[in-house]
Formats: sequence, structure tokens, C-alpha cells
Amino acid sequence: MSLPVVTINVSYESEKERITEFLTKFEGREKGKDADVTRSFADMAMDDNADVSTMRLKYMKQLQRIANREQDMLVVDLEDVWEYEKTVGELVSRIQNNTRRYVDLFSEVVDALMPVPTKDISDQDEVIDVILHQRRERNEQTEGAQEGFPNHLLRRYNLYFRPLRSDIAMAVREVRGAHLGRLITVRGIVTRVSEVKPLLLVNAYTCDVCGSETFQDISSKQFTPILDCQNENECKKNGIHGSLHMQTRACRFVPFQEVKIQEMADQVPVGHIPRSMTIQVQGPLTRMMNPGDVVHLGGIFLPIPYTGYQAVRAGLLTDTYLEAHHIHQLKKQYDDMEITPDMQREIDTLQNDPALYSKLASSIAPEIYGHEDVKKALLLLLVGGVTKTMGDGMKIRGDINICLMGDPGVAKSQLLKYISKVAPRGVYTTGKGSSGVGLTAAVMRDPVTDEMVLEGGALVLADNGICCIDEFDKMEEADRTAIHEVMEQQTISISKAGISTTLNARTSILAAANPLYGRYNPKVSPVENINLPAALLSRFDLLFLILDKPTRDDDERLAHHVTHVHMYNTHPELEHEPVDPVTMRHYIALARSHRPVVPPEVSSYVVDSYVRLRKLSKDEEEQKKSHTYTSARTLLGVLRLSQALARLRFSSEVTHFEVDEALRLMECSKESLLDESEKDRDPDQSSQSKIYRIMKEMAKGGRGAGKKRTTSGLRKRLGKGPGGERDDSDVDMDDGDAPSDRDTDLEEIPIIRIRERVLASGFTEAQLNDTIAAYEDLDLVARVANGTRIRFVTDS
Amino acid sequence: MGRELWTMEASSASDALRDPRKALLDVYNAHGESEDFPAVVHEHFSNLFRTFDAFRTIPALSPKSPPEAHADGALVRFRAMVQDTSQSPEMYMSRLCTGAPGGWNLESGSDEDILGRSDYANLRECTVIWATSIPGESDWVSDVPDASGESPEVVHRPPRPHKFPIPGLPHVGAQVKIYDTAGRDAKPTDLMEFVGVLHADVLYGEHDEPVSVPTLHTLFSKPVDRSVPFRDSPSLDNASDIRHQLISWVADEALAGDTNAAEWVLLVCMAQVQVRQTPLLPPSLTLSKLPPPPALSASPALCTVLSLLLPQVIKLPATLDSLNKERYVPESKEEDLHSGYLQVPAGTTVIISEVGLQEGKLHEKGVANVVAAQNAITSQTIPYVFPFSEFSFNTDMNFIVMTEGSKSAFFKTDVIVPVQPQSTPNYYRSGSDIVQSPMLATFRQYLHHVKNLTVRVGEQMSELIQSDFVASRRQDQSLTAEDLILRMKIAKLMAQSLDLEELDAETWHRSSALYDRLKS
Repeated sequence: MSLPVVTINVSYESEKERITEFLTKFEGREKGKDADVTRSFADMAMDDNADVSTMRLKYMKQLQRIANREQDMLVVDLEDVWEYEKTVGELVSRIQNNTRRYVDLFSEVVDALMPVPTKDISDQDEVIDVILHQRRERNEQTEGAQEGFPNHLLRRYNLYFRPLRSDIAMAVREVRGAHLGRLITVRGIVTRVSEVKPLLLVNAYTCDVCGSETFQDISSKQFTPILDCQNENECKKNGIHGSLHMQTRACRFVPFQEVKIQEMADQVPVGHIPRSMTIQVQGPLTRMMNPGDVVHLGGIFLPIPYTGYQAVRAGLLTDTYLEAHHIHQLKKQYDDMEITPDMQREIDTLQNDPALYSKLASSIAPEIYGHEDVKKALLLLLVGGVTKTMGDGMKIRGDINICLMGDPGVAKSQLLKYISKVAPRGVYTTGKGSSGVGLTAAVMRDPVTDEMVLEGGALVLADNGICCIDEFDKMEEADRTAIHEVMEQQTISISKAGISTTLNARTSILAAANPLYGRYNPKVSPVENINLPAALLSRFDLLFLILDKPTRDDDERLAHHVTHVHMYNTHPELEHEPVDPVTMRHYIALARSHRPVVPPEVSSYVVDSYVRLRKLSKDEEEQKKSHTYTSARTLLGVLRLSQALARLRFSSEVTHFEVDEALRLMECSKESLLDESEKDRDPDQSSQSKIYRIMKEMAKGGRGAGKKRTTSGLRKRLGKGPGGERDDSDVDMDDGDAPSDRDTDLEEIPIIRIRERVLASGFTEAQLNDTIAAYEDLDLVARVANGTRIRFVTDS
Repeated sequence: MGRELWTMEASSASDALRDPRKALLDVYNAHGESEDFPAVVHEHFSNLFRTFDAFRTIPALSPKSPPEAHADGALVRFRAMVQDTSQSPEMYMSRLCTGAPGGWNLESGSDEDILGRSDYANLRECTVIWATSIPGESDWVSDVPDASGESPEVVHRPPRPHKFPIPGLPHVGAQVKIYDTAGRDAKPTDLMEFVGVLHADVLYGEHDEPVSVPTLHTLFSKPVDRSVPFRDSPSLDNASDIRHQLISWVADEALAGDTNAAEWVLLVCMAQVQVRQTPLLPPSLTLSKLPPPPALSASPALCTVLSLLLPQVIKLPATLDSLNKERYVPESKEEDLHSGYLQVPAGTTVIISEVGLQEGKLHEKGVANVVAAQNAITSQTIPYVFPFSEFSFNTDMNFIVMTEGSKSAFFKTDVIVPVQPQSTPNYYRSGSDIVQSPMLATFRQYLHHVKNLTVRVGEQMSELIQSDFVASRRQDQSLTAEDLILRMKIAKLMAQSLDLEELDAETWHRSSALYDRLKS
């Protein structure tokens, strides 16, 4: 807690020699590695050398540019010092522990090393140059040379240290007295930025009587102006108290700004109030931060004695601040996430988990019971499909949009909030609540600069992320119009207050809406219940209706759940240990880096399915049963969902299993809109027949690899249910005899592979065993080779 | 021997009371070399005032004896709520070049050049927080012997009134400096007893004039113990009897003889947050169909009655005027955390009084206030507003909404009980008309006891409840999981009120009947 005691066994003279050696001998690394330095410091001259792959004498080059007045800041990267010294123990740690002193030492060395300008810089002459020139001339004429100028006055650069990359960014509350005088890195959000004001470094005066200039070094916030002329040769010798006049033009000022940063939510222990810290920014580093920015700040933690009236009371107390040396703006996006080795291991084990799909899905809002299919859809929304830009500039959206409809109190909002938390750029808003800026964007007057600025609303803020909109049905009309554009074109066009622009809004939309009359009315059709225009509805890839329908089984489970909570004050054990949000976020980030493509044979399968769906929807329309419309958007939706599924496997190709799962989700979403009575007409949707279908598909797939796949063969993903009834009512009767002759040459498949596939499709091990047992009883399959393989029995 | 030690302690305690500065210097002279001197100070003084009687002799800092009533440098105790911990720790010179100690304002008056000559390695940190007297604390909780009984001549005008949750109430606010920082991190709304040396200090806001604030240099501190008033009372027996009398007293004094409503009020007041993750939170109550108040300023008698029974009760006026103008949640402005009504300690009963509501417009601030209060009711969290971010703080309060309508205009609560006056309505009688029951002390002890009970639910009971639910849901499909959760919460509270450790079938049926009566 106490201050570090400075060991004085350091000779500053020898330190200066070392610094000189470093500055003159250090050779810059490859250009490519140094790219970020170039970027973050807008180091103009470095760009000039962009074509040179290796930089020689990094610092000497910069000194030359400073001498030529082309550069005004010199950043000494501690990484370079480390690289040069090959150790952090010596110079690096001394710089870190006693930074202020080393700024002076480095500056003195730089002053000594400063080369003469290589080009004519007289066009940039200032008042001080004129004074300098005059005094030099006069000193040559007269004997008693006047003392030199303060170093500050002649320095045309600011020297900064850049902390080591390995420096851990601290929270404000972790900064302790022990850090006084040290170079530290602090993370926080900028809450307040003062105006940039000039800070006086050297005050210049001229004397009324002798006309000589006097300079005063200013090192603290306050100073007492000099009143008497300091000229030894004239006024002092003659005892004249010549009056001095301040010469503003000869003074040296530096831009100065005071910034406040505050701790971020993740740095504050639960139940505590965030702390803030004062940052002083000088020179070229000013104007680099705006309120709301998340920054890493490298700087020196310094005490500052209270001044004025405050000092009288405060006695021996001091205030503290951070003198900024390095500003690093943070962006919070998928690409910027860093993976630790631990996280990598966890992701690897996750990836090899056959039940990955259902495990991840059930980890979404684990405290909400049930709704497996909705959660699966939300998982796919997080992962997203692949966005494609065509050669002609047309873009095909990869983001998946989902709308959840349903009775109040079915945890829609909780699902939304969870998603907005897991997604790196998730924004949660309500259709009505957002004030001022609203969902899209608004033109506002900046309170600080008084200029008109374009302020992005929730949709713009969620660019490259997910925008969760609750109470979607209660949205403002203007926002609703804008959302049409967002959902297909992924941009927002603004034309307000003379500003006309198009903002990117590449965002997935997750919406939640209540039925028109508060509660879902089963008596009227779903369309009447949903209070949204069809054009908007068709832009959602998936639409789920979550209703609260009582059944005995569910009631019992629910009652058990509630009483369990009361008995043990905790939730009952879940089937899977939920994946924690951080891991999930990393997994999704990795998954999003894959760009799976649709191979030709799968695409023809998709086309077939689409044609079938179109036909079905036409039939339904004729029977006036249709609630949704199958359009080209549906086709794209299926593709997006299957791509997302392939991404989950980290695969580069979409297989037709994924297309099946995508179709199944579509089907589920449609079914949720149907009445219970209507649902009954589709009797065989049991998990057993679904698993059987998967098994059969695999058998065919294994054998089909050798043969050329025909479209008709693919379509017949049928089997027979345990009761002998048809398990896919969607398919025409005429196809009925086709499967049987194909079945004749089915092969055996290892049960391990089946298990993997079945679990990946979201079924459980128990369901698989039940299926095998049930179909064995029907003599449709047989376990062979000690139950490690499954053989399909021919049923001719 | 033991007696001798005792008298020695007693005399050094009175020495410390007379001249805390000297006592501190004595400790420094004895233990000044210690690595962790603040810990030694904490240890020494908390030992000195270990016993209840010794502790009581320390003069209290309270609205009745404000800072002006104490001499500069006096030893005082301050029973307080931590309001703001956002200030950065302060550096002080722990040892001056003269060898004298620093901290606890001991170094004040030293020359500036002493600081310059002192070794910077002796800089230490102290935590600086802002604390206020406990908002809504009932008079009976205070253990200060009412010496004068009358209020001081000069009305204390607390500096920085925006730091106190309830505007306009007499209170004391002070800056508290804690030197012994190890392990005792104060959080906002924590209740603490600070014992320390009182001085005046100057505080700088960002822009406004510097203000002189009372500053307490803490010698030692301890958490507030709510069981102190009952330390000498015998344990309670026959809880159901006390319960019955308590209900009828509350009904008679504040609810026009309506025992049903009184029972609900009691059940709601004894709830505590059980688990947060799952969440098992206290139920909230609306008393509806109240008659309009005789005058706009009239406040429900229930507030007075409850503050006679419970340690902390506040009244939150939910009229348009106050909704639009007052601050309900704490907000940080200009690096200073302004308090709001809801920044009150855990265990506070909040009576939201909506009576006397007139037609008008709710502005943006009003809407935000309603949302914040509703959030507190449903999820027991309070948002603290900071620039660019909002932090959610857990709280544990009991909410009772009082309204004239059939339900509250602003707030949704778990239970709505329409009042049914059995005698002449006395809902707004003034505090002086309330007949104090001779049993008040017993009532308080009973409430303190049952509030801290935990009720178990056995395997068999859980089966019974499950089958009950499934059966009733077959009859009435509108029942939801929330209904069941609420029913169970009430059943557990009912068991608590009967001083039971485990929920039994009888209590379950009794609470179900109470709940069903409400529905019909």
C-alpha cells in the first residue's frame, strides 16, 4: 500500500548513455508488425515509407522528422526497449516505476541527439525562432553570453511512453497508492471530456528598460509571475527594477484536456458503486476521446496537492490523477475477441460433444423451462447465416430474423434479454419505450460542440449484432416503415435536418409481440391475432407462437418444478450442465468465422423441398387454411438456417441433414400457429419415427455415395412408422412403392455413427434406444455384431 | 483482579470520551511501530467500548443531536446508512517528519513544509464515503436515552441534502473516513455504526461553492444490530396468540377493524428475499378501495402504525406532483451520487401512497420513476443511474401500495386486497389519535423474530401441493405457475407468522383459504 521506495543506486548519467544508445541504435521491426502503431498514432511519415518493408533506426528517423517539423510526438514503445535490452528487469522496469523522471531523461537525450533540419523550415518560423535568432546574434557580438533558454521552449515534440502489450488493464478501484509515479494501464468508459484549453509551459516576458527576454518554466497549475527583470548584465547590475511584460506570442502553450473515466459494469464488484478517475491529456493526445468511448489508457498515476482554499483545509492530503501517455480505443465485436488457451480447450471439448446442438440450445436462458425448438432457433439466430455480396453490389442477407409471439407471461422478454446479453453487440429495446433517438436514428444537437450530429438508434447500434425489440406490435409507425428496409436491405436511410445518408444496420432482428387482444384468441385465425402487416411478417425467417396451453403432464412437471424451488431454494438439476455465456459467446464467435457453402447435390435437395412447400402452400390456400405464405424468402430462410447449423459444426459445407433440421424448424414454427385440433391431423410426428428416418437416411447415404444421386431418391426420405402408418403425410401416395425396392440393398451401419447423428439432431440417448427397440419389434431393423451395428431388414 | 481490569477499562473509556485525540496519541506511542496501525486502533477502541453499556455512553450523532451540538474533535457514534462510496480513496501522511502520527485529523495545523519534508513512503490510503442517518428509522429503535426530550433550538440544516433519500426530512449527513480498510468494504445502503472523531471539513463539488461538511474520522465501526432492543426480553411463547392480538390492534388502529387486510399487511411485512437466482422474492400488496383522504396532506395511519412496529418504514408519495418532480432512484450527476427515495437499506417497508391522486400528465421523469418503482416491486433491484451506464443494485424491501381505485393506477402487485371497513373509517387519523398498545414491545419482538425464520417444505407437503395444483388447474385453466409460486410464498409466510419451522397441511389449507377468499 505504501509508496515504492526508489533505490538510488541508479546513476542517471549512465542511464542517459543507455538511452542514447537505444535511440541511436534501435532498428525498427518489420513494417507489417508495426502496422497498429502507424494507425493509432497517425504517424504520417511512417506512411511515406509504407513501401519499405524494413525500417532502419526507427527513432532516429523520427527525430529527423521532428527536426523538420513534420512530426510533433515521439512515442517510445516499451516493447522496443524490451527488445533492445532483451530484459524487462533493467531499463524497462525503471521506466515503468519512475516514468516522470524518465520522460525528462529521454527528452534530454533527444535534445542532445536532435539532428539539424534537412530541409528549409523557415516558413514555419514562430516568434520564438526570431527571438532565438536575435539572441544568438547578440551573444556573438557581446561578451557575457546570456543564459540559455529553458529546454521546454525549444522542444517541438511531446514524448510519450507506450506501455508493454502484456500490461493488464486495471480497474479504477485497483489503482492504489503503490502505483503512484508508475506507468499503468487503466480501462474504463469516458464519461466527461472538458474543452481543450491551452496550458502554459513556459512564460515569456520582455523588459521595459533593457528589452531582454526572460523565460519562466511553469511546472505546476499555479505560478507567481516574475516582476523584476532578470537580466544580469543590465537591470540587475544597475539595480533597476524594470517592469516585465508578458509576451503571449513567445510563450509556449500546449493543448490540455481533462477527461473523466468511470469503471465498466464488469469491473465493479456486485453491489458497489463504480469509481471514476481524472485523466489529464496533453498535446497531440487531446481530442482523441469522446464521452461513451471505452478505452485502455496508459499513463502515469500522479499525486497532485490540493490548491488554494482546499489546501488550507486538506492539510497533508493529496488528490491523484493519471497523466495519459497512450490511448487505446476498444471495439466490442466478434472479431476482436481474444481466445485464451483455457477457452480454446473448452471449445474443443464442446465441439466434440455429439449433443452439442441441443446442449447449446438448452443453455440459452436455462432458467426458462421448455421451448426447446424456440431456443434452437435462437441459437441459430446467434450464429447467423452467411452474408453474400454479389459482384454487382447486391447483397444477400445472412442474418436470421425471428419473431416470438404469444401470451403475456410466457417469458418472451426473458429470452430476448438473454440473447441481447450473450450477443457481443446485442441491444435490447422496446418498440415503444425508446425515447428521442428511437429505433432508427435521429439528428440531434451535440450538447458539447453545439453541432448537429447523427445519433444512431438501437438498430444502428446493433450493427453486426442482434437487435432485440420487445413489444414489436406497439412500435411507432415511422420506425415500422424503417424496419422494412433494415430487415431486407440492412441499411437505414435518413433524410433529416439537411443530413441525408445511409447508415449500415446489418443486424439480426429478434422481435417479441403480444397478440392483438392481449391474450391469444383461439377462436379467430392467427392472422387476425397477429397485429402485424404481412409484408413485415414475411421478412421473419421464423415465427413462433408460444401459447400457454394446459396439459396434465406439463402441469405436473411445472408444479414439481415450483415446489422443488421452494423446498431446496434452487432449480432442479438440468439435463445438461448449461454452457456458461462467456464460453457460448466464444464458441459462436468461432462458428461465425466459418463460411459454409451449399454443394450442388444439397442445393438440388433444397430446391425440391422448396417446390414441395410451394405446392403444399398452394393446396392449403385453396382450402383456405393457410396462415403463412411460402415465397422465395422462405427458400432463403431455409438456406440461412442450414448454413447456421453447418457453422455450428465448424463445417465448410452444408449437408442435407442440416437442410432437414432447417425444414423441421420451419415446420415447427408453422405448426405453432395451428390450432390444436388441426395439429392432430398429422399423427406421426413422434420422435421415434423421426429418429428412424434419420437412421434410414444414413443407411442410404452410406450406400448412395457410390451411386449417382437422383432427385427422386432424395425426396423419398420416408420410412414406415411403428404402426405401419405413413409417417410423412406431405408426400404423394404414388411414391409409396419406391422406398421398398431401394430398401432391399440397405447396408449395416455402426450404431456409434447413428448415435452421433441422432444426438446432433437434438434427440436423447434414451429416445434412440426406444426407437431401436420399437423397430426391432416390428422386424424392420436388427442389431448385429453384438449390438454395435444396425442392419435394415428388407421387407419385400 | 477482574474487577480492577474492569475499572481500568471503564476509566480509559471515559478518558477516550473526554479527549479522543490524546487517547489516540497514547495508542500511537504504544503501538506506533506497528505495520498496520489503523488495525491496532480499530482493535483497541472496539475493545474499549465492547460492552453495550460502554457503547451507550458515547454521544450519538443524530438529527436530535446534530454536529453543531458536539464540540470539534469530540468522540461520537453515528448510526448511519452508507450512501455513496464512489469517491476515490484519499492519501494521507501516516507519519510526519517530526515523528508525529498522521490521519484522524491529527496532522491538521501542521505546516505545509512538514508535508514537503516528510517521507513519501509513509503515504497511506483511507476510504472516504458519504453516510446519512438511516432513512425511515423508527423512533423506538434508537437506544439513545432521551436526555432533553426537546428538540434543539437551532434547526440543523444538513449540508448536501440531495444525498439523503427522503427530501425534507430532518437528518444528518456526514463524510466518513475509514482508515482501517482491510476487509470491511462498505457498500451503498449498508447500515453501520461508526465511532470516531468529529471534525468539520471542506468539500469541493465540481462546480459549486465549497461546503463545510461534518467529517467523522472513524476509530472503529460495526454493523447495525437490529436485535439490540430485544436483548433483555424473554423469548416469546404462544406466537399464534400474539399474532391474533397484533392483527386486531393493527386492524383497529389503521384499517377500520378490517382484520383480513391487517393479516395481509402483516404477512407481507414479514417477507424477506429468500433466493435471488431462482427468484423467491417477497410478495407485494395493494390495499385498494380506500376512501379519499380528508385533506391532500393527510397520510395513511398505517404508516404511523407500522413505524411503531417495524424498524424502518418510509412513505413514498405517488402523486403526480411528486412522481414528476422527485427522484426515486439514485443518480450520479457531476460525479456526485444524488440519492433517491428507493435508496433505502434492506429490510425497509415502503408504503406507496397513491391516495389523493388527481388527473394530470405524467412526464418523462414520472414515467421513469414509475418504471423504477415497479422494477423494485417485482425484481427487488434498484437501478443507479450513471453517465452511459446503469448499475443494478439488489435490495430487499416490502411494498404496500395504497390506492383509492380497485387497483393501483401505476403499479402491479402480487396481491390486491380491497379494504372492508368494519367500523367508522379511520384510515387517515393522525398519529396522536393512535392508541399505543401495551403489548407494543412484544409485537416488535415477535415481528423481529418471525421475519428471520426460515420455513422448510417437506417431501410429503410438496406432493400434496403438486396434486392440489394439478387438480385445480383442471378446473380452472387460467391458473399459471405464478399462481402456484405465490400460493407457496404465502403459505410459507403463514407458517412463519405461526412460528413454525416446517409447512404443514393445516397451514397450507389455511393460507389457501385466505388466498381464495381474495379471488372470489
